[in-house]
Amino acid sequence: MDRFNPFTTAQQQLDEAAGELGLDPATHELLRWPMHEIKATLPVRMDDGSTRIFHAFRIQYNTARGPAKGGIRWHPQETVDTVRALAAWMTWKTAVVDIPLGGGKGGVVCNPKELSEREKEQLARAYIRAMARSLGVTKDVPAPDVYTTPQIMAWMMDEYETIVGENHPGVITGKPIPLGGSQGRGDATARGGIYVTREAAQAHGIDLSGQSMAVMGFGNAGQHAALLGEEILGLKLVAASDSKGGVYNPSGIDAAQLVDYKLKNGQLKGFPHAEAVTNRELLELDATVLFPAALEDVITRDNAPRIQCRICCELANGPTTPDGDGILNDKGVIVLPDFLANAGGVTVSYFEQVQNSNNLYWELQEVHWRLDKKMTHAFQSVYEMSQKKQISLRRAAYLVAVARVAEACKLRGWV
Amino acid sequence: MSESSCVAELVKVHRIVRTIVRYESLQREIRGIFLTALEERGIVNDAALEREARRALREEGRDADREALNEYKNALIDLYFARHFTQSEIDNHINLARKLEAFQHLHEVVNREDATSARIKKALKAFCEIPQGNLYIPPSEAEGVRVALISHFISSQLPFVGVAKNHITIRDIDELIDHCYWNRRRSGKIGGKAAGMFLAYKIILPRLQECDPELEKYIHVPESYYFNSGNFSDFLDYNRLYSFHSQKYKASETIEEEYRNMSALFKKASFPPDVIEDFREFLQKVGEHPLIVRSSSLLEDSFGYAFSGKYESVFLANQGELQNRLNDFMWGLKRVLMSIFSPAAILYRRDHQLIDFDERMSALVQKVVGRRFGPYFFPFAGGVAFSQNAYAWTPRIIREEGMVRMVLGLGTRAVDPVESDYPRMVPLSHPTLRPEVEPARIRKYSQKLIDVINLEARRVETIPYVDLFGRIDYPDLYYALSSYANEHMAAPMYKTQTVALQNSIITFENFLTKTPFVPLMKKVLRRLEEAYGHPVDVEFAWDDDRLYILQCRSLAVGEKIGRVVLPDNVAPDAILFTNNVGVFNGIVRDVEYIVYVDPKAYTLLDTYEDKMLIARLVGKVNRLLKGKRYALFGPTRWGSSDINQGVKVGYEDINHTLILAEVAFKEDGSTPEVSYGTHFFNDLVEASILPLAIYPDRPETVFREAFLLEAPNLLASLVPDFAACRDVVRVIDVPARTDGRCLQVYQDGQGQQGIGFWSHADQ
Repeated sequence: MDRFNPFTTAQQQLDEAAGELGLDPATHELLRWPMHEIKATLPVRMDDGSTRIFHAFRIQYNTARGPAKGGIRWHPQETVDTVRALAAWMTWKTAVVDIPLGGGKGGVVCNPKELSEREKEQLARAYIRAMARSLGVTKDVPAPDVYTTPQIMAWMMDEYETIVGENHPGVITGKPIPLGGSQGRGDATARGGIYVTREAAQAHGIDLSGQSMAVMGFGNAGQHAALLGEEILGLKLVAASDSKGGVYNPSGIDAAQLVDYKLKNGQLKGFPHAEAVTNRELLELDATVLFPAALEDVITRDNAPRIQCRICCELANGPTTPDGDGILNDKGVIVLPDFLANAGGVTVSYFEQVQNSNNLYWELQEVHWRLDKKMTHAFQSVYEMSQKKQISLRRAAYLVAVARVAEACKLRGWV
Repeated sequence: MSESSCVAELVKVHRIVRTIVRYESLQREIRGIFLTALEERGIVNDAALEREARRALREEGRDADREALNEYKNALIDLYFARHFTQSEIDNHINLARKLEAFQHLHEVVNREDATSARIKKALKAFCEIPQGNLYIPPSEAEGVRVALISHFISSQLPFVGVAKNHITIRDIDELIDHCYWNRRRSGKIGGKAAGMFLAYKIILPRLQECDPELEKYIHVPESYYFNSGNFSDFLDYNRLYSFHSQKYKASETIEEEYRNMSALFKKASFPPDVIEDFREFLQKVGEHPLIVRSSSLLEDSFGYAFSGKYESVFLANQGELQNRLNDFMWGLKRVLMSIFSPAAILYRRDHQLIDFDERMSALVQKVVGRRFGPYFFPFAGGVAFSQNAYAWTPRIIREEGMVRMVLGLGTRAVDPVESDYPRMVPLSHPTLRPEVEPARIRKYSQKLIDVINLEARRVETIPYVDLFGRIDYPDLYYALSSYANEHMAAPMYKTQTVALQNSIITFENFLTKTPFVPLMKKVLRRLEEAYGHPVDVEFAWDDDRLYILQCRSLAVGEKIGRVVLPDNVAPDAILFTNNVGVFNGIVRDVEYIVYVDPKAYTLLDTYEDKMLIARLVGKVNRLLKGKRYALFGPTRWGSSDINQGVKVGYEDINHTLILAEVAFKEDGSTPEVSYGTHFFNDLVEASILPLAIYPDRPETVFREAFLLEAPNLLASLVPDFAACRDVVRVIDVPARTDGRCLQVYQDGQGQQGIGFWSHADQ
């Protein structure tokens, strides 16, 4: 049986966008492939004295709009094609929010569940030693991703600075705040989603104040979506769920109380003054805004016909299957696609890099204000494209992104 | 010789003579011991003394008859002994003679057919009142008495005695008796749990062998008292509740029904007045310190049968007026006693062919380990530790170094499955390694609630730790918490560093890396396993830099079958499932029936009642399939107390299955948590039920759900009353659907790979 190849999917998505934009063959071909790939073999001395060899990648997919930007994944099943696909998606993501960065991704084939802290540090440093010549604030700026943490970013930054002999905190983002991390990263993903939800509602003449919202997935993004939905959009939280099930109260649930309950009890189940609801039921509730904030593929052709929300803001990656997406669009649900809706995270990562480069750090309000501007602008570009071409926001977001990257390539004279 | 040393020698001789006169009946024995010691040191021997005595008598002009010779020889022995031995050596040798005499008496008493506890105790006391000194009764002679005493007072389980006789001395038993509350009318033993704990301490902190200074420093014994089984026999006699002894032979349904009414009956029943006085005196002695009344039945914790969680343990705040404390204490004892008649316990005994054993209940009453903070009382941490680690998610973890399952506060949360809350699982070979990597997941799979005793409300309470530590000033948070802010998790760097509770996770990072706990626990487990000759598990508490062992028993381990090699020639279409997480070694062949509780359908059930119905149905099917080779597959966390997380079954509902599989679909919130270490899990292992977890949504996993959903469902014909549940519970005749083949399951714990596939029995 053929294994699913994410890079093939990424290329297919690009092919469709290229066709719709009418890209010339050279530009299309250029964008179908990573521009620069590094494969490294990392020897690491383990705690027991043995040496283990790890295989690592860094893909700089496209740097026409600026230095490559993208996380480093540590995963036992990592493949170069997964990293290529994710690097391509990073290219479109940075383009759609119009930050002057390209797209990249890194990966190490390893199982962090069996590495001690010391071994992780050794692996992090080995990775940077192998990649340092290709990294830098003007070349490629990694960040945390699957199984990598701010602590690992801190080790990597230190190794890089040791090699170049200079202070370069901006070589990597997602660092702990004392080492130059940015304020506002904690709620950046949800906040970005809230700003685009606000813009989408406004564009469609929907007054969100006093309307209802349901949040599926109550981790970091889901919790902040509930709090900020209330604070910024005036939405009333009526339902939320986590992996153990959810709670529902059509009269409204105090988001802060619910977050506090989750923190203390590890689950939403049992929250007073609300009835139990399953994850499936939550998706189909009568709520104006739905935030799928946890898992992939939860909105499918099976349940999409029963989904009642006006706006679906995809804070999770890939919560809607292509079939489900089609049904939602046909029903007139405004689907804010994941790579626009959850781009707040990468935007604040970019802010971190900017602050590091300037050695000047912003107040939280400034981060919020700048994020608002970026996300608002991003939505408007995508919305205009969708209106102009009468296509979904998802397709429009792709077109906007690919067009921006293609334009940069053109201006540079590459094609 | 100077005049002064001559006087000193004279005084020593005088003292010897005076002592020997005091123990006149032992004169011959004492001098015999002296002479042996003199000979051993090469100072003088019997023949030389004889020659010297004859010469002296000749010089005195006296006849060297036997009497005169002996008199002279005795004087010479005393003189030589006084000259060559120190005063404390002299005392030791005299005491050895005394001990040998008392020992002979004890030997005689303890081995009499009609030996009573009172007589044995008296003889034992007489022996132990003699200072121990450093001269001992030969081990071979002492062993017989040790065995007899252990059998009489502690446990007559042969495997236990076999280990205990090498570690528990005669004086240890005397010490134990001092902490025992015996019944005046009925004899009894202290029971398995008390015995296990007592033995553990004697292995870790031996009286006679060399002690390990590290263990001496950190290991402490909680103040413990033993209420032997005679007290409970007496209670049943006094209240004429003899008929309960036959409870175990009744039908399961009758046992269940009668057990529900038993509480009211026991509330009314009372202890005899003299026993109540003993209790009152005991409570006055221990004062207002929280207590735990732990079951300690004769069978409990015996080798191979752990009775995990079958019998009650009751926490008592033990605060306030004496009469109130007494009432609470008596009710606690009654609850513990009553649990011997519980359906789960009786069924467990039936399953393990222990039903005809005359099981009796004792109680181990301990001062709860911990300190008071505001109204709350709790230890820093509690939990359970295993000398062999079967929970290894990577081959790097060394199984032989053991593992710990621990929580902040009372250890109750570590031994019972708790909903949505996770104890810290620590592989002792790699204590900081954990199956979660990202801080958000570490937070998800961490402890949020803490069990404490509220001394004012006089009860055990479960409260969010964030709330608890917001109310009290607790000095040890440095060891328990890590801060978690802006996706960065870090343990505090110094003790006074403030960690915002709202942004914290219980990780025990500093506890595991900056205290001696890990090496200490490894050492303790290694010692216990070596002494038992078998893997062990221990319940423990840690507080104020002290490690308390609360219980020790031989660990339920599956049959040792060596490395399981997975067959490599299985046709892809014959595979039902593969699994590679939390794999336990085992092979189960020729499974004929599969009972599949469809996790997705189960999740969709609306009401509590619907879900409880499924639990009852599983129990019913289990009983109907008794004697058949069947496997049970269903949602994660079997036996969870939270019905939304798993089917709420008890051991009695699943005891005939060969395999208990958890099918963790992603949408059901698959978790890395296995119930390893919980009472429920111990039951599985003891009953040789193979646990396994299948994660169908992982790309490398095969799970042919369609087979389970599409095969004809026998449920309606098997249990017509429950036909309406056929969409949730499916009973599948495997050979009927696979051309006569059966399910074969191979699980390689070492390589963390497992497979279930169809094949004919002879393949």
